[in-house]
Amino acid sequence: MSTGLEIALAEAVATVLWIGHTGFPRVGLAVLVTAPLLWWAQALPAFGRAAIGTTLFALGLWASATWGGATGIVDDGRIVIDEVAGAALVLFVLRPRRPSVAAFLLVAYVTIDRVKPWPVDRAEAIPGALGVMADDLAAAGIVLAAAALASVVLRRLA
Amino acid sequence: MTDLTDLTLAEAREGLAKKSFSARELTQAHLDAVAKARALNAYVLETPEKALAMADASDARLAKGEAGPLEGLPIGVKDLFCTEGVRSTACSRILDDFTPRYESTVTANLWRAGAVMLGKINCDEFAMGSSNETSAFGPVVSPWRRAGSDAALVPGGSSGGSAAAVSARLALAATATDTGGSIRQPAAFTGTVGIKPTYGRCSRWGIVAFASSLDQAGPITKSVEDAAMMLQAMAGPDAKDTTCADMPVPDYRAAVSRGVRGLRIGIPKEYRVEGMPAEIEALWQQGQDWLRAAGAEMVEISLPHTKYALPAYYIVAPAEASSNLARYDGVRYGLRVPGRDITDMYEMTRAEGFGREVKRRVMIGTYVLSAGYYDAYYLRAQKIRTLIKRDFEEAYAAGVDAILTPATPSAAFGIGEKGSGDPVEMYLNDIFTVTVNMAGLPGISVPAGFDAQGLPLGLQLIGRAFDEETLFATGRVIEEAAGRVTYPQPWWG
Repeated sequence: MSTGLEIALAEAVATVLWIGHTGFPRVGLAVLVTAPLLWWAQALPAFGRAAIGTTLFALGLWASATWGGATGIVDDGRIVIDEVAGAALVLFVLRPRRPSVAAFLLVAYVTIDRVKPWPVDRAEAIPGALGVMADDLAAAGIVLAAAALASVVLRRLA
Repeated sequence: MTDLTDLTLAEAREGLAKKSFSARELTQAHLDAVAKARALNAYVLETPEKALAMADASDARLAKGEAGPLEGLPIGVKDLFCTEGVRSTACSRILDDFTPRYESTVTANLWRAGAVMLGKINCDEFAMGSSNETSAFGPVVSPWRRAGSDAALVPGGSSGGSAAAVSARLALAATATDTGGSIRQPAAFTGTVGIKPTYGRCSRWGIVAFASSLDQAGPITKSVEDAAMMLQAMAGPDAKDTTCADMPVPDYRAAVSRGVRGLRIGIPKEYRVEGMPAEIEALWQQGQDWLRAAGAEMVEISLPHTKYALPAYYIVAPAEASSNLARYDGVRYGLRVPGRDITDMYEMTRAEGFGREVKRRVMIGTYVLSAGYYDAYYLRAQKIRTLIKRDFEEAYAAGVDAILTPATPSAAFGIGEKGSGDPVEMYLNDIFTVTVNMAGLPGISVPAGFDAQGLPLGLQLIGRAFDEETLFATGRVIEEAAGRVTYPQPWWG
């Protein structure tokens, strides 16, 4: 049973400190606001990155489930913690050295997340909080796969 | 704290989610408001015990984190929807105390989403009317009044009770039906939002039939976002209605904030009818300016068969009505007036049970379907219907995304003011709305301003089939530009 305080906390987490309530460009805004923190965190050792990434994912699951359970809205557009978790995955795995590369990766990630190609659309269809988080992780996965492919191609060309 | 009845559906849902108040408190506030507003005659049956029981169940689900999208939100149900164990009369004497043993699909969907039923709402008898004056329970009085006048006004019809209840804050939202404009016209008269979705978007199962090829359920609400929330819950495939589309319901609420940049909005030249009041013309122009300022492009279009829509509608609809209403014979439902023999009993029951307007339409329908007249009237009307549909298809094929028109040719009029001598005077109210039903398209009425006497006026947006999303996005732009309509001052108690 969720208390009022729990729901308020879940709302704050799910909407990344109420950024999700700001309207249409909320996804980009949430990623933009959290990008400096993620940039800082990507320099941490593997254990630190894994801990932060896992915590973000777990918090996202809890907050989405609690807020979704209270509002009754399936995959509420105001939930943006999932996009931040996906952005973290991109930066934590690829660890770009230059901010411009990080910015490019995040723009690519947000674009894929919005366009929702396969398998992002399939992941989004998973019911419940897992579905809320899974499509963003799938979008991050596409960016990671594309980066790996680009890396192989560039190495061959070099 | 704000009066709980002032909240929109979305605001109330947010308050429940944050536990600012309980579903019981919200429901009780509305029940109290309903009890104080009986002068409006908006409800024909109040169900306070059922409402509080449903609210308590909602509170339990909210506490468990198992809430539905409309959890704990008190709404009214037009008396055309069959509700299990709750009297459903279509506001006709002929259905008397008919209590269905089944639930209409639309209301079942709403209860599944967590909504709470406050009661059954008044409407024109069998939804036949444009002023809510044909109800067997008496007319609904609009909560709106002309500036400086105490004259009672109509709330429009046939869903006048639904519109009056929402406008007077006697429900957060209400179900309604639209056969020729019965959602959009009362919404325009009362400063509320009303959407008639595409034919087939909502199941008609369990809704008392008027004209089966035209009837469609939809919501009347306080805002465009609320309309999106309601329709989201009401719509969906239904195996029990073969005309109900087997397609998923899009995320309407997400579409509300989509904006109109890049959209092409059609302005049909045939809707500039002779004698249209200057303030309606000005409102229509204002709507175009708002949409243009938001990034949409206005395109003049032609819907050449518009002028035939109203006469064709008043052949098709009564024809279907005469057929649908044949079932009310005193044997299976409600009222039975004894007679010398079975034929006499049929005749006595129907004469006693049906009101004047229903009888008129049944007679028109029977006449146009009768041998010798079928080809001259009904068949020709159906051909016109095809041409009207084709007009819209051609406009949309040319790249128009939605069409903007006035919702009504005037603001609300006084009770008894129209149609007593000449019914055509009343039928002309539907002039801007019937084409949408004839073509099976979605249409939304959004409050956009006031007339010189302070009465609300609405603009209508007509969309492509199954593209209610564009209507919500476009309607929201008009709503924001016009500013939320203030509620009428409660003179009723």
